[in-house]
Amino acid sequence: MTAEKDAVPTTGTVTLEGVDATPAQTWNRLSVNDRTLVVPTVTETPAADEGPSARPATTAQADDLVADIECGGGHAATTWLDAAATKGRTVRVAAGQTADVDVDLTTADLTGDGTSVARTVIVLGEGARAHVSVIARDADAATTTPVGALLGHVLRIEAGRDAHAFVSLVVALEGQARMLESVGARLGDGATVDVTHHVLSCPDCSLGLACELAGDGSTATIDSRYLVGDGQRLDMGYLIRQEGHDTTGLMDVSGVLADHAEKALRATIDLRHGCKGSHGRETETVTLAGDDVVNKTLPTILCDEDDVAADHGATIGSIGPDQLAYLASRGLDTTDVESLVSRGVVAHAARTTTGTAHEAVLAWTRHVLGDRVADDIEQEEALS
Amino acid sequence: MSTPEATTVAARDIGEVDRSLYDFRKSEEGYERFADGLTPRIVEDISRRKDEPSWMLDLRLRSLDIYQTLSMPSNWGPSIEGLDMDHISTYVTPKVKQADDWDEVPADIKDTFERLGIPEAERTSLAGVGAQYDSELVYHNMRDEVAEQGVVYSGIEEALHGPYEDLIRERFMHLVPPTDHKFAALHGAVWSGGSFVYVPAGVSLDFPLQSYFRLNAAGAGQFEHTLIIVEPGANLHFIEGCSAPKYNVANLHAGCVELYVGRGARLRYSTIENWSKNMYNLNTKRARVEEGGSMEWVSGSFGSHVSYLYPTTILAGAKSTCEFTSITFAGHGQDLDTGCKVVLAAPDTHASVSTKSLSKDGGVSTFRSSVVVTKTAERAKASVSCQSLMLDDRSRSDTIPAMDVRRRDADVGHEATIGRISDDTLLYLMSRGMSEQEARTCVVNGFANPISKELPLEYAVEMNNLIKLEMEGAIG
Repeated sequence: MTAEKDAVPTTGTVTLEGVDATPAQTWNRLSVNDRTLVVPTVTETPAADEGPSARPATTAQADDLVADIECGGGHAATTWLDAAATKGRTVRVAAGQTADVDVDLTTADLTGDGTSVARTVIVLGEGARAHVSVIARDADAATTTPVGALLGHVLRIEAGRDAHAFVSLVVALEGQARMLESVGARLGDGATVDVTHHVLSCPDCSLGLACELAGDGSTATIDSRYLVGDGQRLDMGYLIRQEGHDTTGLMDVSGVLADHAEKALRATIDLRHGCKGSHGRETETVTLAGDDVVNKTLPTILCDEDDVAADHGATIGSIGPDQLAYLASRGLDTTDVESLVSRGVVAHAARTTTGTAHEAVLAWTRHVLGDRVADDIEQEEALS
Repeated sequence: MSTPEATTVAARDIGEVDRSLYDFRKSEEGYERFADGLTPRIVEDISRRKDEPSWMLDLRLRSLDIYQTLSMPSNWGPSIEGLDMDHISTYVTPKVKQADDWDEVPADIKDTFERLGIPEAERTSLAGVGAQYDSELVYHNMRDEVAEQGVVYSGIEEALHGPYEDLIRERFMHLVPPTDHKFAALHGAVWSGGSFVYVPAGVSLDFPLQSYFRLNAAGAGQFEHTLIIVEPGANLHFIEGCSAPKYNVANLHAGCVELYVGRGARLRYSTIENWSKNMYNLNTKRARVEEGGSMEWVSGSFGSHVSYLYPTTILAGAKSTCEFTSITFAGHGQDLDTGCKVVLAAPDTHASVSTKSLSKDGGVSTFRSSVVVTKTAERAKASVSCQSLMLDDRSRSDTIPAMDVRRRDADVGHEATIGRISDDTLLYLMSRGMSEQEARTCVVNGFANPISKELPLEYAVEMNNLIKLEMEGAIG
């Protein structure tokens, strides 16, 4: 989609350690928890809040409120993102109100050091709702992307009683730009956060997400779907800490790994002492559709309470012979079937996004998978 | 593997068991005990006492160097801060010669093993027994008909002075090199006792061999080395048992088990571990399996204060398999970090892991696993199942499995559950006349049943007894 140009100068870089790391230590020899990222040293002063918010409010107060929210990208990555952000927005949604928040990260906005980083704070009052849509995309084809460029986003959400946040992220980066996101959410009684991630393409993508279910009856769901293409790398660190009574933490992660793809998922359900009546679930399905893939999965359940239920299930493999045989009888070979699985990820992204993100998904589909697939998806949407 | 005789022996009532079965002490008067701590002099003295070949002393001293330079990885597992090597004696022996007749074993030591049921088991259901007391074997014997098939089962030091020295040299600390981790290096420096088993090609043992390790001395370490070679087409079941009385000072177990399973061979390695709750159990076990071979682990971890125990299997040959079945029960004052590692490194290899863990009365149970499918493991399959039962709200249970898959045609599955005994289940059982404790024990025994049924009957009974002991006071 975009042409390559010279790399970002490597002088003045810093290596971020422990990106997306889990709270639990695991085998050192597998290096599952050793994700690092080289980024430019931040020298510029942080950007001022650009407003306007959905409900004008004191940004400082909101920032103070969320300052201690744990973000999933890890301390080093989150600190760097905060410092490197050139765009900032604080949205305070009053009780019972609704707000839409769009964050558009494009390679057109890269600064001199090859980064474009945004910082978003959402504070939801009682019963408030927010739809947060984050898209990371390439600029138009005429814009070139330097090697090592990076789009970044740090998002903190404080959700009050019975508030509901919908967070959607789409990553569609065909060029050289990397992606780094660190998200933290803290939920009060009865609050809910529903997170949807679609990673369609990115040479090197790191997604960290931590949800603290502090309130009784709070819920977090994470639905993450990905396509990791030839030579690409995807790193995910998802954490749901369940502290209140009767909380629910659900993660469902699935995707396709093509040739030479590398993916790591660290998924942690942390059932803290006192979270009686809570339940947590992690499921993962990985379709191995290429040679020389590297799939690392660390599904962790930490349990410090007896009156809870938690489970995890993972399936890692290629499409089963029975399914292939059936589909072959319908005229589809293995490549066709794997394409269908990939297309399913894209179609889901198209169905669940709106506005700029939706347009970006369709543009990516048209560019990468072809007009026919894009037309089919549009037609399906029209019919549905 | 169990026999009609074993069935008879095993018919002990679960109600007969009491804690004194394992927790009794014998005087150390007259014992030889090396000074606490670790120095080259101590290592040389151990080697000299055993009249070892020079290559073994070299290995010990090299291991000592590695031990002194290696550090423990930060933030790994439960804390072992309470373990101070400056207050651990690495060699304690009752100054007796190894016997092959129980009547030649000193009365107090014989009494220890009688109370643990070892001679009785030998008479009824085992092909051979080795009994280690502190740092040295005090008894080793094998049935004549087994020896006649060419099977070797002896103390490892004894084997070092015989025709198998070269074979031992080729294999000893090759699967677990001293560089593996700090306590592997410690083991390499001060190992003492343990068994050597050699099963010739095509030989199948109808009865298991068993080694039992008893650590009687306070503030001491036990560092036995078990080396088993099962040649192509052979079949062996080896049982390892261990226990110790409880002291108010730390004891250390840093044994090492190296298992070589030849082409088409089968080895089952069963362990019932019941170390006392002042024990740091930092044991290392590893197996290498050749083409078509089969490695089966059955493991019950009930004792020790802190455990690091992750038996590893390397499936090096095509179509080799591994089954790992285990149960861990962490009670008051226990932090048991257990699990397993499997490396599938050849085509059509298959691994199956099934574990259970229980936490009670403030105990911490952590399950860790690692399943690695290398690029050479075409069509490899692995499944991991982990179930944890929380018996109260003061305990903790963590599940930390890792999977690293590098083959497109691999098929890897994992499932884990954590929960507690449901009130409905308890209510139902109590409505049938059980007390709450009986109902809980019944459920826990059912939970553990998939493991106990893998054991010979008398060991299954022992395991159930251990569960019953742990379940005492499970209410309130």
